Amino acid sequence: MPWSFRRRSSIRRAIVSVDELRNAPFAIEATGLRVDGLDFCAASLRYFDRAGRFAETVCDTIGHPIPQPLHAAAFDTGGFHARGVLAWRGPTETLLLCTDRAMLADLERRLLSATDGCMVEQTGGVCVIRAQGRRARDFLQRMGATTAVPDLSEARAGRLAELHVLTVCVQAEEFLLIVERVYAEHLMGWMRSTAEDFN
Amino acid sequence: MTSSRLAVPCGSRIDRSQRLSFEFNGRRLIGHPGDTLASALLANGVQLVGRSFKLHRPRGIFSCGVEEPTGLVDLSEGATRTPNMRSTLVDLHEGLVAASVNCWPSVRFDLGAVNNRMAALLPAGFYYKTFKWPDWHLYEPSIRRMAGLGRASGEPDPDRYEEAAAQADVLVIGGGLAGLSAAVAAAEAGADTLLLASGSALGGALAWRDDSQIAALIVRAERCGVRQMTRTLAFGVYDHNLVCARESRSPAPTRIATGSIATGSIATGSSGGVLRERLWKIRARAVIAATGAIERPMIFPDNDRPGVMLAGAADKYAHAFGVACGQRVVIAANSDSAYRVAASLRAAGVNVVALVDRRPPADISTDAGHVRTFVSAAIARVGGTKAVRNCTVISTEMDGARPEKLDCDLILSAGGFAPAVHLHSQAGGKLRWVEESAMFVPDGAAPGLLSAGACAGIFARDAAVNHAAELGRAVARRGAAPAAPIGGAGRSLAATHAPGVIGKQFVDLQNDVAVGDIGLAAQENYRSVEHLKRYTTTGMGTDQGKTSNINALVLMGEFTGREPAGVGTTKFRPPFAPVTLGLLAGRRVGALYRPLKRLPAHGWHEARGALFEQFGNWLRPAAYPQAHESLESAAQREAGAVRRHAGVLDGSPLGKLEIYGPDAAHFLDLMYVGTMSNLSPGQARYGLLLNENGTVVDDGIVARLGPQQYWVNTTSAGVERTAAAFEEWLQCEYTHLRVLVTPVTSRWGNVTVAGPRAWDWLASVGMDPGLAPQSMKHMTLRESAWEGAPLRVLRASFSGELGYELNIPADHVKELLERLWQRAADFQAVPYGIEALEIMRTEKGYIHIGTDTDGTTLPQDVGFARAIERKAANFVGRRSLLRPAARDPGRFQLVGLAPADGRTRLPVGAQIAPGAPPTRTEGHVTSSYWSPELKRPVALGMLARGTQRVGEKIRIHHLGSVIDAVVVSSPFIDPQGDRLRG
Repeated sequence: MPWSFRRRSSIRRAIVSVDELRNAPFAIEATGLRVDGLDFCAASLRYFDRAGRFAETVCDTIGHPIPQPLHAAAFDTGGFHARGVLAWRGPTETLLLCTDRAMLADLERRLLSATDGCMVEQTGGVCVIRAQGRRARDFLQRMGATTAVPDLSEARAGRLAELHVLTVCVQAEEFLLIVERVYAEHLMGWMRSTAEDFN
Repeated sequence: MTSSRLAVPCGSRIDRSQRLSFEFNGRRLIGHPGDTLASALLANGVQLVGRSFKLHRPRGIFSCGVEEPTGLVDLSEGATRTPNMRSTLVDLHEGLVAASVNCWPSVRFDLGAVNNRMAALLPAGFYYKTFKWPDWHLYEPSIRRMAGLGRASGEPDPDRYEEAAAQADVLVIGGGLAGLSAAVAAAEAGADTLLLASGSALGGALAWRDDSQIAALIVRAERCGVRQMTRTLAFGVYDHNLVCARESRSPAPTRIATGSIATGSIATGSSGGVLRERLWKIRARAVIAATGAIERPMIFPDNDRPGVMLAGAADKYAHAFGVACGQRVVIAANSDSAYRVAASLRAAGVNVVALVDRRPPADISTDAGHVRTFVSAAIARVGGTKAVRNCTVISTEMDGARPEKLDCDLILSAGGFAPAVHLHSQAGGKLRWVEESAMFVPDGAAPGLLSAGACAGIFARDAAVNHAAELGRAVARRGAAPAAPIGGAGRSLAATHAPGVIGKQFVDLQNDVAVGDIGLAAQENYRSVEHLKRYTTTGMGTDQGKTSNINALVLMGEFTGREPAGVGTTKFRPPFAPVTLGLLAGRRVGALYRPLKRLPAHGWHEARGALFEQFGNWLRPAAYPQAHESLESAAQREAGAVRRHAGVLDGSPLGKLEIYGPDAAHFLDLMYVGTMSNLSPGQARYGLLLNENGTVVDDGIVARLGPQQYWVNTTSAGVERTAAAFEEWLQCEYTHLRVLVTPVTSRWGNVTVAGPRAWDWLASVGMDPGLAPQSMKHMTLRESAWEGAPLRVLRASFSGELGYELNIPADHVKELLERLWQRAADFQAVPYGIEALEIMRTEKGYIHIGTDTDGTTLPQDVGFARAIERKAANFVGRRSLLRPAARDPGRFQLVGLAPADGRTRLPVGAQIAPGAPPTRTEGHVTSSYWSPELKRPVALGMLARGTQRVGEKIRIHHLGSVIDAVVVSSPFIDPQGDRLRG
């Protein structure tokens, strides 16, 4: 063809090199730091009123109220991996992470009658990466703004590795990084690169 | 050799027991640990280091710190070569390689020095007045080749750079006496305190002295928990007290293979390089700047010769590095500090021949001991070209007094001090002129930033320490800051040049700006100091005029009859010192250059030979070329296969939103041109999304899931902005509506199967029979399941063929694709990419937002006039569609275009005009492809009054060629839509 008919990115080849990232197993270990991926079910709890029927149903079902703004909480789901997390994401949204799929299904069923909110499943749509250890905070601070790194019982949305990441801390020296699945490779690549210089 | 190593006890910073070998201009030299490159060069007798920017005059090392204007070198070789490094800041390490800048073939014999012979023809601003005839472009290549100083490597930098964040209650910038005092006081008052020091050790300008007060403060700082970061230079203060600093890593980087920390294979960043620098972004409640002061040079003829340097620098080289920068020293003075330096150098065993003080006796408050002193005197001439041989001293007051020639090999310049007010000014602080000491000092505090020590104009030691400590305590306790006891610098004259003498007196050593250039600027009526800077280039370059700015503006004041305060200073902008591009890029290089979205089944596509390209931040298969197939031919083959048989497209990037709430239907009516409230559950409708100007910004399909629940598809690239726009309208305008917008693009993958055999193919992998075309109509949505995974199946088609958009949880996309692939051969089905989809949608005349539309396109321009008329309810952008411009019958409208010869593809972007350019355009081609179905080109374009011109011949202009074409109606195939209904 005599000429190109579409505008193409001049940085195409560099972008394709992102593919290099995906084949590496994701686990990072360094002194005082361990990073790994977690398998969580996820759902957005959306509501108009955090004291309404929807919020009450959530509390009744999982035994823990929707957290206060900018906060997060762990709760016991009673299952084998008896752990779940509620993380405030915005004035009308709390993210629910749990390992117990049955509990999620049960919650969804109960919430059908609460019309002042809805549960939108996000399983598979978000990736959860855990950074733990006494140097985990330091590690995260090398990836973005300090405001993105929460204190205990906090959930902070911020910029890490050029991405919008919700970072949750419900246990001392342990951070859960919640990122959209489509960006997970980028985040993991950045973490690997940071870990190379983390000494 | 005039500079040399001094004996112990001089050289407190160096370790004489070890030797380091390094290379300068190909010459092997020896230094010691603790040396800087500058001190090691001087110790080896190297005084000629580089050539000046414009005139290529010989230049040596002028200072001992960040202010260095002339001692620039290119550091290292190959990929790690770094240009224009200040030798005064480069820590010596074994194997260091450095080379002079801006000279050829060598620094001693530089052909560019011919410029110096023609200096009279090259005054300030000469380039603004010349090179105009016959054409600037004639000269441009040569000038560009000559411009610049060092040379950057053309290879990728193998080293790594990191960005990190920190926060503190109090940030103290500067690890000198004042900075330490402030930090200790703040920390002892309970504040979380962070202390930055640009040097490798705390102590600032006094770090090399055995100073008990500093030692005690360092101990206290450690005890009270002051966080200390050495080798970290704060270079910028930005909005809301964001301070950026550059941490220089190990002075002797060892280039080793990396990867010892992370487990698993490290696929990125393993460049074999090292972490060279770290960019710190620091936020603090309060910032205290204790950045010291910069010595001001004296101005006299040929004051740029190698062997002329700042007095304080020579003192530091002697005591800290054990280097005598010369054997016979003359000091040109305008400050009492010169007398202290004279005494200090004599104590180090250096012969100080004379002290030439520009000031009258009344202004001098100290004496030079046994050093011969000239008062009210100036240096009128410097002998020597590549080194200083002698100088001639004249009286500035006694006419007819005999000039006296002094043998010397080093002339020191002590013109007073300029407080380093850069950060204060960057933070928005004001300055005021202190006449007595001829310096600008902070006029009060800057927002969020306070100054302490010499940078605040406090030069008396005890006063500086006490004030800094009070300041530290005050900011820690959120109290009022104490007033700065400015003073202690002694008396200095504002003017430091030698009047009435012959020869070039340089103001800016890096840019070859002389006193005459300032005079010329004034003569040509440049009065603003900012204009002076641009016209003469003084204060530009890598040093940004740290040693020249004050002298330049004092001279400007003299030439224009104003006081320095009236002239003012140029705006101090970040960065305070040069930073590497690598530092700013951080980890955003190579694979991490920018975040790209990846498909949930990326690997599956890779295995099918997909050629990935970037589409709206997504990495998507453009096509799946087979052996020896080009992208174009692959797309043609794929489109043809879909039209005849079936194909599968990974449509996961398609934007997906869930809209929930009792007012969801009303809200979507407001957002879209189409009416969505009358959709029944399971029905879907195409909609255009406008902004408040009526411009088409997105499109997609809206389907109703339930009474108060909708499924919204947007364009792949537009989902974030659509979700943000929905939120903005809900939060700012339609606050009474109870609607929740939840993005679910990542949660749901999308597998689109299209083609006449699409359903047969789907049925073969076990899809619910209820989804068959006979029972599920076009533009309907069904909730179903496949292999235990929920499905939201939309009958819609962007290809014009029978199409199913299978929305399935992202975790199951690969599984579904694989199952379809296993049966693909049975249906002669293919995977197809975006290019094939573009061909098919163009054949169908479907618009692609952003390709066929732009920031001026209104819905009626793309065939939605009737939809607007039909809709009674209000919607965003409607009012703008009533403007006269929106109703102009001459607006561009979307039409089909076909080449008159039936063969030539119309270039995208080509302009439509009846006559030859330059002329007014009538439109342009927006989409153009070869149609595998029609065996001829098809194109879409925006054309003035387009819909009224079907059948008309038009002329299309592209890069000088003209193509005849015809306006046709679209779609090009299946205008009745029989195929897509199945």
